[in-house]
Amino acid sequence: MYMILKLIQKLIATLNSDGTPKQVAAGIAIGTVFGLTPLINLHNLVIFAIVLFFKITLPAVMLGWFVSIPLGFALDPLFDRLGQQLLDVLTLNPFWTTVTNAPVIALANLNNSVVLGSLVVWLVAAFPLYLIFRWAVARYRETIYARIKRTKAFQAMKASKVYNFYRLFRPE
Amino acid sequence: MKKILRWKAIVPLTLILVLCGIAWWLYSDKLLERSIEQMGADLIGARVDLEEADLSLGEARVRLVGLAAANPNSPMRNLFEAREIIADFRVSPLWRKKVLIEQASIRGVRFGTERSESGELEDPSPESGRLLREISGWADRVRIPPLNLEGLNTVVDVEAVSLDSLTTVVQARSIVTVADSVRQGWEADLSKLNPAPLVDSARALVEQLNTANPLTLGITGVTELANSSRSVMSSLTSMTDRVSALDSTVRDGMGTLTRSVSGLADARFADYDYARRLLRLPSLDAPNLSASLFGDMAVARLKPLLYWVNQAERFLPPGLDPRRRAGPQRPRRAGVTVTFPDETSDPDFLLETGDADLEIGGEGAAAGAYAARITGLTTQPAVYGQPLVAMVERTGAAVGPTDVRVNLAIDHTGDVINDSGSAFLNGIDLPQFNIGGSGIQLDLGQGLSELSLSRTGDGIEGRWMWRSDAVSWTRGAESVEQGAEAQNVGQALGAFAEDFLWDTIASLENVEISVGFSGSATGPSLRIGSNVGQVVATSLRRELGERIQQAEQLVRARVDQLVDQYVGEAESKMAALDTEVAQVVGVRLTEVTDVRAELERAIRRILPAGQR
Repeated sequence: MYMILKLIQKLIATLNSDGTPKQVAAGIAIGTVFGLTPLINLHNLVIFAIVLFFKITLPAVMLGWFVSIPLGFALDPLFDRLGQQLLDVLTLNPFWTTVTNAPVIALANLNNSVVLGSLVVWLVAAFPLYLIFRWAVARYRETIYARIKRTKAFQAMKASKVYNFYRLFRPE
Repeated sequence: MKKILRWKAIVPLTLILVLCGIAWWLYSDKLLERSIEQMGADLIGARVDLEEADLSLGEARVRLVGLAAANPNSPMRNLFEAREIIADFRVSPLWRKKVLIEQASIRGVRFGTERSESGELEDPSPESGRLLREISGWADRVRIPPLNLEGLNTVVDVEAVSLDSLTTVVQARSIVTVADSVRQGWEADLSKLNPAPLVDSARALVEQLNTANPLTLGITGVTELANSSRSVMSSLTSMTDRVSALDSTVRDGMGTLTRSVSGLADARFADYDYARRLLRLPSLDAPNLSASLFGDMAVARLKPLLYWVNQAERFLPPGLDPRRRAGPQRPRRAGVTVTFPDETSDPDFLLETGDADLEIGGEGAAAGAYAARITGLTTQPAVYGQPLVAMVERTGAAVGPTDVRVNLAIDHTGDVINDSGSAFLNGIDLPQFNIGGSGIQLDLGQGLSELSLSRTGDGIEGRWMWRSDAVSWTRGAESVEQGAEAQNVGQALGAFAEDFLWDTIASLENVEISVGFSGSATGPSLRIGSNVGQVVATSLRRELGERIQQAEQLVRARVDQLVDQYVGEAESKMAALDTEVAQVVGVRLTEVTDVRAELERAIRRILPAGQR
């Protein structure tokens, strides 16, 4: 329960003030890979290691992940079709033969239509997603969050014991 | 660097890796167990259960205990059980997702053991389901002539043979219709071509050329004449081609119709057979009788054989083309996994050598120890480049002298499948079954079962023979044949027939049944032979030959009476059409060709070489 509260608090903090919109958008765009592509796969392990090693906003990554999970399920038929089309391209046969028989890369399941299709879609969509989220986070902070901050309810809550309780879980 | 790297992450990442290692240590055996059960189920199309799996990467060894694979054709029985399997594999190919087993030892193999619960899959793979349906479809389509002697005790009612049920009548009517449509077609085409005006104008030009004098015509007159000659000649050439094309089309159509008319004789023989079956007259042919008596048994035994022959193609596919299979089961869509064989690499799965000790217990003649060896079992034979070879031999008999030899060579290394196999099993328990849909049960006891088969491409050819010198017959038994459509004698065969059959065969001690099969691997045709069929045929001829012959004559006369009129109509229609075609199209073609030749001659005579 404590962990969940802390996570929610981190997400709110990230969206409202922690990091620049660029950092938050990059985190969300990277996080969508975990929701769009089937989770237990080698490429997700590699991306997870990158997220941990580089200073990418973890709550933003989590946000991107959670937001894209239903999207991943909904778009599975599209990923499947796209993956099958890519795997069926005759001129790409030598490429797939090399990739699917290469050490370690063979374990990445790139010869599965859903894995391949979703990964390709994510690779193509990652940068546009980054731009969209950057704009969205900046707009959110400028308009919605600024307006909420000014409301009496928010001011009252901030002065109340509830906010003190909330602060207990606020990340350093 | 410090700004973008999170060095503190090394600790949690290491922790995660350690956790992954612990999870692998705790669950790898379970994971392997589940994978083998799932892959096995996909492979055979029935449940595969494994009691325990023990994977040791350090020793490069896997140990499987209590493997039981259900029989897809009989889900309450196991196809085989193995007490223990120990396999030594190579570790480095695992990085390329390849399983290369150098040596596997299989202990305590038993076949056909009973299961406590059904081995039927709730959700079988579409491919294995398709194959089972295909083989079952073939079994349903195999026409086993019914053995029914009841017709002899009834008055032969030839009126039962109706006009519309005869193939000859249908074919003859169709010939008449097609002949009419062919005639209408070419008449319309010929009237569209309408060569008569062109022929007339060409004749007029020939006459003009024959009477013309170049000196009086002058240069202008000769040039005009040359131009009109060239134009008519070109039209004649085009018309000749079109009339020739029409002629050849009409003659092709006539050829097809002529073949159809010739086919009426075969159709008439088929109708004799049909009418005889309709009146339930028994055949006096030994092969037909053998098929009636043992057809169900043969089909029931060939079904699993064909299933496995075709499964071998599915799981040991020839060639290097990419292969598709369903993706792994997961909450997300499974998708399709495509395998791309690489001839420079290792196959995805390879068992280089496997040894098995088989033991058949009990007091039967088959009881004893057997040794089996298999080499080159791979999912990508073209990559491995060597055929699968398997053999089974008896190493020690518990009871009596017996001989067991099984050899199998599956060569899928090229684009064309080339399989061969033989099994010689002497002194084994042979099947017991009801014969000819009757309540007479034949127990073949112990004897010889010999199978040989070869497959090249999609074609299969083989022979399966059972021979016993100590058979026993039982009368009034319920059907023992699983899957066969055997029924009780009272319902299917009739008391008269059963009495006759029982009196004929009950004293036989030696029985030999042979089933030859050839044709497509998913639906071969059968040839069934047996000494029992010969004995029954001889007996039938002796007892009932005259009555059957009389009944057959009546049937033939009835068929002839019904079809003669239609056959005659079709033949006369065909003859008339042939004459008309020769007269009309042939004459038009000759006219056009002749006038073209005349025009050519006239042009040569009157016009200088440069103006032709």
